[in-house]
Amino acid sequence: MTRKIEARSQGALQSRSFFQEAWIRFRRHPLARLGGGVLLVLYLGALFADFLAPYPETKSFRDLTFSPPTPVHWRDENGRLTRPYVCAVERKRNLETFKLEFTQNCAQKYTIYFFVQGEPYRFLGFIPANLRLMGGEWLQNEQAHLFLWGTDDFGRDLWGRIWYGARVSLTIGIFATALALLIGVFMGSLSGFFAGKPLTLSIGLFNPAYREFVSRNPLPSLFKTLLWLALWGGLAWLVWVMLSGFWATTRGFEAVVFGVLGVGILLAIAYAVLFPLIKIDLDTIIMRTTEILAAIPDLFLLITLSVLIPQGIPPAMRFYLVVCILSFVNWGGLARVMRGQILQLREMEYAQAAQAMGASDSRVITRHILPGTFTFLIVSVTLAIPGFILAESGLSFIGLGIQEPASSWGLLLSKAQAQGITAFVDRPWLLIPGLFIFIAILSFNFMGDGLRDALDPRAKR
Amino acid sequence: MSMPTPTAVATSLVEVQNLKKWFPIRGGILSRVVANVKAVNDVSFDVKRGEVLGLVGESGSGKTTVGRTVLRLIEPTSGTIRFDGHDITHLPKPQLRAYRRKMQIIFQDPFASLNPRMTVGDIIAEPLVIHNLEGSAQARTERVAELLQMVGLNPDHIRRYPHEFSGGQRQRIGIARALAVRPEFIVADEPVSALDVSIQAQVVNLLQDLKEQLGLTILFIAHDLAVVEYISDRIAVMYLGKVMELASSKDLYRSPKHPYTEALLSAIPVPDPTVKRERIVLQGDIPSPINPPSGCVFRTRCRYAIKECAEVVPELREVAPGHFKACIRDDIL
Amino acid sequence: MDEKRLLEVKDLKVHFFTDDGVVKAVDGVSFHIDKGETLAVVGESGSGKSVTSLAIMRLIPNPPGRIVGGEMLFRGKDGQVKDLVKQDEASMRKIRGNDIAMIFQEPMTSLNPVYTVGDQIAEAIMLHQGKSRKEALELSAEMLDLVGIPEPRKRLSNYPHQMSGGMRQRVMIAMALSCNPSLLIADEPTTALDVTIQAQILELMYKLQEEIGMSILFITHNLGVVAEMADRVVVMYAGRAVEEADVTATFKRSKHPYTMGLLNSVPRLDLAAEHRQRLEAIPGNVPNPLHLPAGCAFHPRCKYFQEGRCNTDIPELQDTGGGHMVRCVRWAEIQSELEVKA
Repeated sequence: MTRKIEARSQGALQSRSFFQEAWIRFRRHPLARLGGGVLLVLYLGALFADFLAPYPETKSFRDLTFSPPTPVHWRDENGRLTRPYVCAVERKRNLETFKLEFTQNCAQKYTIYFFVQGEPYRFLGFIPANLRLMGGEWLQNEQAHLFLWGTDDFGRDLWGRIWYGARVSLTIGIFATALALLIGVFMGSLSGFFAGKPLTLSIGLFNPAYREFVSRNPLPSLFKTLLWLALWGGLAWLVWVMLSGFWATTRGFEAVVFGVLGVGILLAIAYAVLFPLIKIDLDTIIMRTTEILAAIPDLFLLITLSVLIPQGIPPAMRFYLVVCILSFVNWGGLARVMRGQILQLREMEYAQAAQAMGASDSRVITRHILPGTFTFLIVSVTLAIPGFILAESGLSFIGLGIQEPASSWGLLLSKAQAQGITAFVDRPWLLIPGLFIFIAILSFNFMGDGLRDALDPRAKR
Repeated sequence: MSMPTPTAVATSLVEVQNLKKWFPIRGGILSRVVANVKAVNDVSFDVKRGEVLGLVGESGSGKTTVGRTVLRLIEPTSGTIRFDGHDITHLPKPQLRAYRRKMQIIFQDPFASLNPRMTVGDIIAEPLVIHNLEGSAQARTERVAELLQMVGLNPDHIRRYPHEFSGGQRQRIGIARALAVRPEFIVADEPVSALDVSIQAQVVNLLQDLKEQLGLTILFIAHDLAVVEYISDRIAVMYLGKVMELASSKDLYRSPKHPYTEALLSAIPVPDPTVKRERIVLQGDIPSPINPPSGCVFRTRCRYAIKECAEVVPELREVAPGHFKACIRDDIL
Repeated sequence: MDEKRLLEVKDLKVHFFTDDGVVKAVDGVSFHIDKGETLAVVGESGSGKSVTSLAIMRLIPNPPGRIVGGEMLFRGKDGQVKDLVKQDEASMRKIRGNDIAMIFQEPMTSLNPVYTVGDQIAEAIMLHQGKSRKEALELSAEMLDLVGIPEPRKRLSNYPHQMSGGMRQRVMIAMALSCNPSLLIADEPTTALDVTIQAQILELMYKLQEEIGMSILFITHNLGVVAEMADRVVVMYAGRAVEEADVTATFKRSKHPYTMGLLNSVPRLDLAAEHRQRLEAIPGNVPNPLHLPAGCAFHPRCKYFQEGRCNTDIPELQDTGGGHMVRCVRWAEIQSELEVKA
């Protein structure tokens, strides 16, 4: 009877999983699609930077510093369409205005060819290749130059360096987020699972709880007690060694101070062995740490830590150190939200249902709690990446992040301000890296918004 | 202090004695306990094998906490819980797991109690996996299909996700999951409160059928006395963490002995416009469980309250065969 | 419009335009409320009862919802009849609170937690009656007294979180009644409350109606509450009214299979203890509003279903005599079938 009624009342509904539904919702979000598309282009550009750039990353032309974008001609002198070509450019100082002027000499046309053999490079770092998007013999012979977006203060091609810089700027966000996520999720989960459940660190031998502990599991507790006595004994011994060392080296007032201090510590250890019940609340410790981190201004902390990076280390090393600093400054926020999520999910009835079925803690965590935080993590990661990109740009901008001759968007942008406000007017192409930062940040935010709408279960009717 | 408790010895599947659950409220920098929410405050009852015991109360009466504590989902503050004669109050987790197979729970909220990322098949099979029953995956799938059929769902829906089902169907899934390990005892925690009226009846009937079919023992928790009346053999009425009255459902309805039960019964609107009853409207609100009134907790709203009610904590005592009440006055009702 | 009519809803249609399709939440509902009368609208989730009440207040969230048809004639305090569907937002603001007031299911969320209770009641009074703050607060205290809140003057300075659920619902009622509305819409006002508190609130509403003489539109799914409060009842299912009758007829002589099924599926305390019969559940599920069954929306769950009649055309609401309206093509046959059985 029920079967028949169900057949009558329910049409054939297509069965979709949670992520399929989310994908459908995501695709309905036009801005998110746009953001996703732009990011895809940017990341592909970063991957194929060697291919896109006509010159190697650090190739510089000392006599062509701050060269404006090379004009690309599509028509010949008679106004007919031809293959695109460029002219040789000469730099001269105008002796009346004392400004540098770049003049074209179109006596010879240098045709731009596509998919040409250029300077060799290693794709992905190990595949030898020399295919480049555009160029020609003249480019390698340096008869003429192709600077689509001009050059910087060392006469390096900005167009190419933007794509090389994209590698750093775009991946630093992901690396730093990944690391911050790792720390944040770990700390946040610990904090969430142990919220309200302080861990017993040690039970004194004469504490009433000890007798109960022994009565519950007599044999293993004997072993544990021995281990635990050894631990405390070792600690006491260490203190004693240090103390006698101090006593030997400093014979005066300090010796008395250290003596009193040391005896105090030994007494405290003895007390810890005998009487109290020492509990630590992991949740409190972790959360207070994040609060302290949050109380120090981010920029201050970033700058302080960056100054500690030694000069003259390889750029790759520097890159990873910057990643570490960024994630160290930012893991606290992720840990806090992660803890909140876990606290909430821990109370969800389906988690309790699993517990009621007799599921072990690890099963409840892995099957029911962690998957629930997944959607949230995707969203918060997408929204965290732009923050890291900005932070890196900021650090590089003030010269503490990525350093020459490596390239990053923030570093490239810093050239724009190198020579005061006039540089903005005279050399506007130097602002292009800023535009890239802007577009990348915006795209990440659009995509994050779309993901949040798609993955947030509350969005469901 | 020993208390006469309404427990029978041989036939009881679940016995609860002097159960207390206080939730500490912490305050200050040192997180010291500043007060306790006395959610369950000295409750004793038993559930006989094969019976349905209804547990009724308003919000804040502690009925849900009792249900969860009996299953050891919440650790009791004090008291004892016996299952099939064994004390499970302090059983450590590994040993408790064996009992988890015999006791299951059905939740109130059919939307929150099913993991939205698992298919119906996985949800129902989970207890089988946990307890390593039915051996092969093939056998488990067959058992799941059988369970779906048992609760009136189409076994073809095994690969669907919870959000594709209506509230009533989801509750059936929850019931199927609880039955998967062939438990002896089920705590049904407000299983029909979140459902529409017409669906509510389906689920009540289903539970009744399953109980007959499988010989289940059920602790049925609800705030709706009418629903409880339908399904229960005996009913315990709770108020502010204490059992006020415990009797067979017939006796409880026909001759309530406790003023609270009397008021509760009269407060329920009857779906019949021709029946005009005199209604006892209780004045005021339920007091806070942090600071329950002295003596009898109900005295602040009781129309029969006398001076002694504030002084003596009334014990649950047998006033007629199988009929217990916690009220010092015998001259009323 | 008839002199004694307060509100007449004709062929109201409210549709929600969602990404998955059009949800016809209310699809051609007609009813009327007389002065001083209590009309109960009963239905399960998804029946469109709450949407109907929001439509009268013109509070349908747009997008995605829109009133796509029908009219709602309302007689204001000034005696003029207005079509609420055609009013602009400015004149609706004058009507809301002043002519038509509303109380909601969740007294927790319908009061603003950052203002005192007194401020919130006084604000409504100041807005609609142009009184000074002092007078408004004075009146607020009187209103709190009226709804049975002890020490009303002290309570004025309380914040909502300092009150219990029942108290808050009383405050909501005081706020709703502060401007003497001619129609009070109560959307599941007791659903979130305990039975003993529900009893208090119902008694209060009953008493206030006697005193003030307003009309009440009572939206609920609780048939017990309906039996106690209503004069007339409209039963809704899947966005349409399926039966309309006075309260005794609804409960004693219901003619629509859905109403009958609903009544049989309610556990009855007074019957249960005497002869414990099974509840007669309505099989199946409440239909998905996006994919309503063809013809009568109830036909997949109906035990009087007849192939070719019930699942082809949407039945009309017919008057079966004495204002007892039923939307069922087979109602007469079912009646005689039942009589034969009896």
